[in-house]
Amino acid sequence: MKLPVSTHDLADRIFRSHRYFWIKLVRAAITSFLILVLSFFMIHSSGNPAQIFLGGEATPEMVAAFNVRWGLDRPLQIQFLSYLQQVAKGDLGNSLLRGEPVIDIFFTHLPATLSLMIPCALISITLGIALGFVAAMKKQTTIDHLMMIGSTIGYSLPNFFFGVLLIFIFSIVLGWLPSSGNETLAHYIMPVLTIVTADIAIFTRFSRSSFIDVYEHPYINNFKALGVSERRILLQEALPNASIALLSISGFYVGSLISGAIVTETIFSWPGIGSLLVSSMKARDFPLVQGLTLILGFSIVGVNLLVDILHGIIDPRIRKGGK
Amino acid sequence: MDVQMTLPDEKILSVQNLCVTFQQKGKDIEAVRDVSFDLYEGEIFGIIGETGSGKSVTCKAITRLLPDNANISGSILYRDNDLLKETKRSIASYRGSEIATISQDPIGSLNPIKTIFHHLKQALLRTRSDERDYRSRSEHLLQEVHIPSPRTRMDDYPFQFSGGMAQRVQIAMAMSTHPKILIADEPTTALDVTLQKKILKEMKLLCLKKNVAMIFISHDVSLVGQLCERVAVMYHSSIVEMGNVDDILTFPLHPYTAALLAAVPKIGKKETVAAISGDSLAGDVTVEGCDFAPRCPYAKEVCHKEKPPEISVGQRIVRCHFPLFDGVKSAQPAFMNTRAIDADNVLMKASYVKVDFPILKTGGIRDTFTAVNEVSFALRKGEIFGIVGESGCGKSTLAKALVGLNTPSYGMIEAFGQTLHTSGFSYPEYTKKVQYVFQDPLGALDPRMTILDQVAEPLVIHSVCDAKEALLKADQMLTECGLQSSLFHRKPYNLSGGQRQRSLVARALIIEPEILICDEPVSAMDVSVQAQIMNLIKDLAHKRNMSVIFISHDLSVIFNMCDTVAVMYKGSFVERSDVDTLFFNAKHPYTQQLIDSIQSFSSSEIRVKADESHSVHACAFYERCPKRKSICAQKSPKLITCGVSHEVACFYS
Repeated sequence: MKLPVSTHDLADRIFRSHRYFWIKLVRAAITSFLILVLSFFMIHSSGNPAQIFLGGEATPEMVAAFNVRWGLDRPLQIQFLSYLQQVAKGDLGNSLLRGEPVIDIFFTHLPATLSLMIPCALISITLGIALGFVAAMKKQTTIDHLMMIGSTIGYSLPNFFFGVLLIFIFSIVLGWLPSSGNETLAHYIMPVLTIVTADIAIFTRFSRSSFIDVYEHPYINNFKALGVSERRILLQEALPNASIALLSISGFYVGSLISGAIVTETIFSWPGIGSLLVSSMKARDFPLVQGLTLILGFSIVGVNLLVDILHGIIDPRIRKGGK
Repeated sequence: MDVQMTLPDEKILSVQNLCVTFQQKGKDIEAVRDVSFDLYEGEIFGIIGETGSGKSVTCKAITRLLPDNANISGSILYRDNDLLKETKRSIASYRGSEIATISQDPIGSLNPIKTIFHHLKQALLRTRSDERDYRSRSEHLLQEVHIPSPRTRMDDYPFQFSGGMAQRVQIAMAMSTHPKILIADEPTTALDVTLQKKILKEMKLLCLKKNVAMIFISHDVSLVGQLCERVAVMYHSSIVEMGNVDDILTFPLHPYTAALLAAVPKIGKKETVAAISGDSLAGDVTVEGCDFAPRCPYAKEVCHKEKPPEISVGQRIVRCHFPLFDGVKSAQPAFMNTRAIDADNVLMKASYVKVDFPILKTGGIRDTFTAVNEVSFALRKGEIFGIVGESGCGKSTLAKALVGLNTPSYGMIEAFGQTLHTSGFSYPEYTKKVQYVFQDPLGALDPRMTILDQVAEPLVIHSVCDAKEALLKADQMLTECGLQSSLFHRKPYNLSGGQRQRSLVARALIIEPEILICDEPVSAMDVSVQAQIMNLIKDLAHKRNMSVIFISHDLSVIFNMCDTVAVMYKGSFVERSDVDTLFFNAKHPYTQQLIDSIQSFSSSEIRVKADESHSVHACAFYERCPKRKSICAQKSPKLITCGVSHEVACFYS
């Protein structure tokens, strides 16, 4: 192997051979920066913090003192720069109500959300794709029609209704399951059921149409005509192709997971990010809301970047710039 | 090179009384009806038929690759095993190893996200070997189908292959498991003519070498004639005639075969092609008598009432009440009307038109691709001007530039005292005089409007008359284009391909344009319908003394339609003259290759030599030219006059 001559040459080579990935990375960075800018200026345009904090009766001297104390007397661009500096250090400020750092509050609530959402995601994606495949193979039959009717119901059943219905039946009437908290495994059953019912439906519908689309391509028949087994055709030809489309929707899905199922968490008093977001907004805890917005925004950008990279790995046409 | 064949007696496949019915929403569609034929070891058996005649379904039934709603009956004996009695699992063991298939769409038949090696490996997997062995065998297979540097190419992806190369990969896959029968379903239809013959020749040689019997399905009569020994002609789900290919093509016994042969445009004969009247029957229509009777010029009363008997004449079989033993009734020779071209009246003039497209090369370098390179021509009143060239040569781009759908980066298009793309150019005025007929009529028609409304619409847009009068005129126009008035209130989906194209022609002609631009108007059509549309455009052009720019990849269609022709290659006109001169006295090596490739199977040899260094300024045809010399590698020839109204761009003509 020939070694590159200069560092410039090396950089050039890395850029060329991974051009697609670099472009995606740069785009993700730009998006993240825009999220920062927007969150900063939107909070700043939402009112004078001194007025909100000190109330209507504060004297001008008090306001001025407040501004000096929090650095609000400086020009906006200077404030923005120091904000950037803080964020770069991982400091998202302190909660107004609790006084603790926003980042700490976020991390204490994260495990509860992840322990709920990861199983939900795994169940929804695998079961959804499997059901979608079955529906695609049996398309336009009674099985397919029943599955599509079922998924329409599952998808259109509102979480706040279905969750409450579950609580009513299993907690109040039957008394089998706890209705709030996350201490035992039994606590997981109803929230998981609530979330999964809607999400499986989405994945079933989506993967059904992806599989139908892929199976209509001539190469599937071509492999059949070569005597390749149905199983191998599914695993090595159809699934990789269908996953290109499925990956996009999984990206959106996983990206939204971290914010938790806001409605579901609230119904079941689940101590996760979703409930935290709702309670901080109710309490007008601006630093907390701003910090959470930022983290959730970044996590969605991160997941989308991951999806783009996976796309490039699965699909050579994207990686190599084909049609 | 012709290899002598002896027909061995060994029968390898015997299809008997095959029927295939598709069950669709309570309606049964008979796709194949009572089809029987035998295939002998090592022979090439052709099946000719138009779209929907059941030829593909017949072949898919052999390896049982039909969808689940297909009901198959009869018997298919492969070496005394009835394939229709095999279980779903055991039929898979015949596929590939005994009977291989090559399909029509070369690129679509390869998985876009897997390497070529992956494809070959899937085919080789049942031999249970290791990765190294698969690789070396794949390399060998690709070498056999003439893919250059197979060792590195097999790690490439399908989108990095051209159509011809992808089709070669498919052939390699099919051949990898040493099948005894190869079913080729229109294997070259998607390829350019010059490439078609080359690939078919390779396939034929490979089959001979490995003693593989081939079933060759095609709609192209001349290809079947050149490739096959025996042929079956299918019409509306059943075989109407079968026998030795030379006998059938020279003395057709079934009126359909005769009509099909007459509908093929022939080079050098300026006769109007004989269209078969009417359309093929739809799949779900069943006729009491002979299926062809409604379109048959020989039909008598009994033909409409009873199914025709199967008559054997020596080796031949024909299904007809009245086979044409006395030869074909000579239709009145309809010679093409000699048309008056007004040499002084130039309607449209294109000078040095160049169209560039921006492209993004690998590595992110922006570049331009020149689709049309400094093309000039003048269209005179009453002239039918043909532009011929293979796919991607820029002929459609040029046509679109002529109506303003593409903007030239250089050059000028003048027509009717106006210059396109300049200030003061009035587009509505221009489109009133220049109209366009697209290749795909279904895509060009509004799916939600009746054709009568659509044909009337241009009149309203150009405020020629009010809506009521427009509908009256549209009615007349559609009738003139040969459509029955019962069809006027249908929407495009409920019309056949030929009827849609007629409506499209009617829509273009309703505002009485002086120039009609037709972009491959017949290339998606069956031969019999193609002839109808060609005759329609020719007749109307003559009646209205209208000029036509007719674009096609099919030289025989061009020869039949046009007065003057330009041959286009990689964006430039390489030769231009009137039709007769071009046919009898083609000067450019590319034109000669094109003409050769439609005339005979073995004469033309296209040279694609390994990369010899030549500059970017070289003649565009350098790589494929058999006559090239050193100067051709350095500069590109310009179009120069070489006779009366004959121009050619070649240093050595």
